[in-house]
Formats: sequence, C-alpha cells, structure tokens
Amino acid sequence: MNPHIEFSEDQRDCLQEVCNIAMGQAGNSLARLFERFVTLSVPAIGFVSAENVETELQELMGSLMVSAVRQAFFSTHGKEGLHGEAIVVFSDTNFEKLVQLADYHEGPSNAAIEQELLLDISNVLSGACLNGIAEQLEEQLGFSAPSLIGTNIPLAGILDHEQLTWEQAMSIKIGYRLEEIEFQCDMLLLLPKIAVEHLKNTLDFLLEDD
Amino acid sequence: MDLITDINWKEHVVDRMDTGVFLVDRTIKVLFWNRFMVMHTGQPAESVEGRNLFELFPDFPRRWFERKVEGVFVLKNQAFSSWEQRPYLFKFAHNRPVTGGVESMYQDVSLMPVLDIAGKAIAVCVSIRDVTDAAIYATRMKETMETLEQEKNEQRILIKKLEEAQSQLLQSEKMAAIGQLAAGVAHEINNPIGFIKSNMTSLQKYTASLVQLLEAYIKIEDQLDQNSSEMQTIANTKDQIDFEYLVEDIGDLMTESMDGVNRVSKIVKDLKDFSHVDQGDWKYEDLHRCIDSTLNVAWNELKYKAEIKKQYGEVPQVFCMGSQLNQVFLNLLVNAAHAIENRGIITITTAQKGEKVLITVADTGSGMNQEQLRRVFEPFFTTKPVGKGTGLGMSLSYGIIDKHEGKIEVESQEGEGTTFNIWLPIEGPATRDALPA
Repeated sequence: MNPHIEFSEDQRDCLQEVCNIAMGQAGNSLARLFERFVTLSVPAIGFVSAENVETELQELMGSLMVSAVRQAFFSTHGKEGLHGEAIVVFSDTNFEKLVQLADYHEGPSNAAIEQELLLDISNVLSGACLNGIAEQLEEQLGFSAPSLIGTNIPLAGILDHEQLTWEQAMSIKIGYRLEEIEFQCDMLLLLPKIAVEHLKNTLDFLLEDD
Repeated sequence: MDLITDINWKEHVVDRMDTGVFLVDRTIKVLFWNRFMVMHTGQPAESVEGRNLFELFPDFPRRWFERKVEGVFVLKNQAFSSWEQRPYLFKFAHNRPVTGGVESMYQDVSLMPVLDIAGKAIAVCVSIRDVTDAAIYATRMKETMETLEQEKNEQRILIKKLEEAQSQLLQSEKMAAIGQLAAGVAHEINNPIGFIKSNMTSLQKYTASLVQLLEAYIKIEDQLDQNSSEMQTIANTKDQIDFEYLVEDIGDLMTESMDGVNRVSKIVKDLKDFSHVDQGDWKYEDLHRCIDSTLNVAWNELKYKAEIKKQYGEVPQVFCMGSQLNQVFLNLLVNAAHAIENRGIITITTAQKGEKVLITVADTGSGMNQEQLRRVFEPFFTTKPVGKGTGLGMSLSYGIIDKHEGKIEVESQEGEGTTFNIWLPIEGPATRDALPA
C-alpha cells in the first residue's frame, strides 16, 4: 500500500472548485451573522506529514504564539464519509475584538469568557465552511463540541508529534479576515487518509457527472 | 415497522430522556419543555410552553443566548457551551442532595437547528447534559496537577540550592585541602628556615667581627715598607677582589638576606595560621573595640590613603576569638588602603541582623573584575605586585570567619570600589560546646 495520498489534477481542481463554492456560501452566511463583510481566502489544499508536522505548520501558519481551538466533524456516512478535525488558529486574541465579533457583552474580560468567545467563534467559522463543503459533496455533517487546545501556546504545541498515529493527512487552510475590526484568524481542516480516499471517490463521481 | 410508528416519540422518548431538552423559536418562545426540565426548574410544561424564555427566567444570559440561537438559525449549524467556560445554563440543584460537594449542576449544552421538510430552520433544540461528576473529577484533577506542578517547582528550587551548597562545599573542601598541604609545607620549611635564620644571625655577627679585624690590620699597613713585595701583594689582592666594595656590600647582603629569611618565615607563619586557626580564646567580645584597636595598629598604613568613616550600630557582644577577628579586620583594612590609588574613603558599618551581626568594610578603591572576585578567597591569589602580598590574607580571613560559622561576602565594581560583608553569629558557632575552653 502506498502510504502517500495523491490526487490527480482533475480531482484537485474539482476539490478546489467545491471548496471555492462552499467558501462563497460560508462568507455570505457569516456576513449575515456578524453583520460585517467577511473576507475568506481561497482555500489552500495541501498535505502534511506527521514527521514534519511542526515545520509544515510553521510554514502554513506563520505566527509563533497562538491560541487554538479544535473540533471534530463526522459524516452521516460514518468512516466512509467526510470526517476529520478543524483547528482554528488565532494569532491575535484581542478580547475587545472577540467581543465585537461575537456581539455579546459579558463585562470585564476573564479567562473563561475569553475562552468561550474563542470556542463560539471557532464553532461558527468551522460550521459555516464545513457544512458548505458537505453540501457540495451531498453529505451531512455532525460536530463535536469545540475544545480549547490552548491560549498563547507555541504553534508547534498544537499537534503533538509524539501522539500522532497517522503518517499523512490532507489539509485545507482557509483564512478569515474582517477588515472593519481588523480581525483575522486561520482555519485548518485536517482529514485522515481514510476520509481522503473516500473524498477521492466522491470527487470522481462528481467529475463523471459533469 | 409498526412498533416504531406507534411510538409516541415526544411523550415516551424525548420527554423521558435523562437530558434536558427544550425547543425555542427565533423569538426565544418556548415550544417544547421535556420532563427533565420540568423536574429541575419546577416549572410544568403547560406554564412554560408558548411563553418567552427570558420572561420565565429573568437571570438567563439573554444576549449570549440570542446570539447563539441566531447563529444556529443563520448557519443551520450546531452550537455548544461547555461547563468549563460556563458552568451552567440554568442554575439547577445538583444531583447530590445528600453527598453534596458542589454548588449546582454542571452542564454541557448543545443547540441544534430543527429543520422543516424544505430544509429551513424553524426552531432550535437545546439539550442540557448533567456533567457534574465529570466536572468534579476534572476540577480535582486540575487542582492535583497544579499542586504537582507547584511541588515540582519547589523541588527545582531545592535542587538548585543543593547545587549551590555543593559548589560551596567543594570550595571549602578545596580550601581545607590546600590548608592541609600548606600546613605540611610550612612544617617542612619551618625547620630549615629556623636554622638558616639563626645561622644568618651568627654569620652577620661573624662577618662584622672579621671586618673589624681587617680594619685593625689596615691601620698598621702604614707602618710597613710601602715598596716591599708583601705590601705589593696586599695591594694587588685588594684590587683583585675590589676590597672596598666588598666590605661595603657584605653588610647589605647580610641585611637583605635576613630580610628575605624573615619574609619567608612570616609566610610560613601565615600559612600555619591559615591551616589551623585554633589559637586564641573564645569569649564574648565588643566588636567595636576590636575594630578600633585594629585601626590603631593599621593607622600608619591608612592615614595617608583614606578617611575612615565609622557607622557603628547597636551591636551586642559576640562570642568569638577576638585576636583572630582582629587579623581579619586588619587584612580588610590594609587591602582597602592598597586598593585606593590616591585618597579615598573606607567606611566601616556594623549592625545587628537578627541572630547575627553584620560588619561591612567598603572602600572607594579600584575594585575588582569578575575573575578577581571569583578568586579573591583563593590562597596565594593576589592582585598586588610580586613581593608585596603573599596572597594569603583573604584566605586566612575566610578560614577565620568559617571557624566562627560566619560568612564573608564580597561585592565589587571595577573603578568604584569593593565591599566586604562579614556575618557573625552572636552566640558563636553552633558547636561552641565542643570548642576548647
């Protein structure tokens, strides 16, 4: 068995298309929710290997000290469906900006409130994007409750190299920016190999349809 | 499949789940209220359904909940709330009315969209799970982790202290070893130096006598025939050996040699003192009197170099060996004077600090660099020109203070001066009972 996941050019183009359409929709609904214009970057599709996960994360995300939230997503198709984890990485967790974004006021900042804001915002962002992608692939997704990986931790601490049981995973990176309040964060969707195999089949199916 | 269609899902399944379940519409009007909610709020479904949630529960976090519900409607996506950030949504009594231990039920909450056939969100279903047990466990675990972390830090500090203690021990071991060596060497040198010194004294006398005799002979030379061959021989010999210079130099040589021998025997004495600082009496002494008498002794060395500032505090009598401490003070004062190039200030401060007395000798001299600071108590280490210092003074002082179970510290800034701090326990060494009376 080839341990490396590979995409044909067609499959890659198709996935990019699916993601782009999904991001358009997501941007739309996020803008409605936040009542502000949300800029989403073109999703960057790539692969990370467990071996070099630290340097690859560094190249992908840039900043060194971050706050991060993870959340699992799974398909009604089970293991055969779209599943994986979404990690939202905040490089600047300014409390006021978070409050502005979530639009609820909780008085003075404290750790728990700030954490809750991070979790809520992450949940909204990953939900919007992933549901969009799933819809294109004609699947339905469920989500685990988001959990905090850490606040103000080194980027390398997000994925513990020692604990990873996979060799390679697919990554889709999406950047969010709200110009008006100068807020930005990045989301990394990570799909295990088995999910990617299934995704390739689905993409092939979509390609045949065209 | 009849069985399944026959089931009254609402009343017999959702209503009886051990999870709080309720439905609200976009205006937060309650549409459904299951039995878990009835039991824990005490509000029957009939009096809740159809009414606004915030009317019923004025303490409810309104803005937060509205935003959450709106998010679910807009994105048709689940939303969550965790006990870790928000311990509860409703303040319910916990499930431990008897065993107790917590204030109220910890809750994990999720909100999910309820869609109609067209896929439009028409309501939000809120489920509330009792996670009190897990929360208690996690909280305790966190506390334990924090305690562990704290203990680990304390251990780290202890290890560091141990390392410091070990390096200090090494230093004193080194001193002790050098002390022993010095004692052996001193003993070996002491005997030959003894007879050299006494022989030199005799030789000095003998040469003086011989010169005296020669001078007597010279006086009768005039009476001899100046042209005789004997006289010629004497004159030749005098020329050959440079007689006049020889007579003049012999005395200088003897004096210089005696000086040298005296210096050697002083070094040997210092070495012996350094290796066993055991002479002198242990008794209560007035340290101010000790310092003053030392100042008197050293006055000749000090008066042209420094102004002495005394800042004596209220200090009790200290159980010590006064004569030994005098030596330490002498050392510090003379060194301070030597460190001052033209004219400076030497400040002597005393104070009581708890069970100890602190004596500080500070000068405005040339100071020391890091390397010198590190080696200042090392035997034979000196910053003075060759022949000026033995390099034993400070190590001797170190030994004396150590004997007193005190501490001697040094701070220095190059170009600004040096400060020595001496800490002495007022009641003397802890082992004083074992000291020779």
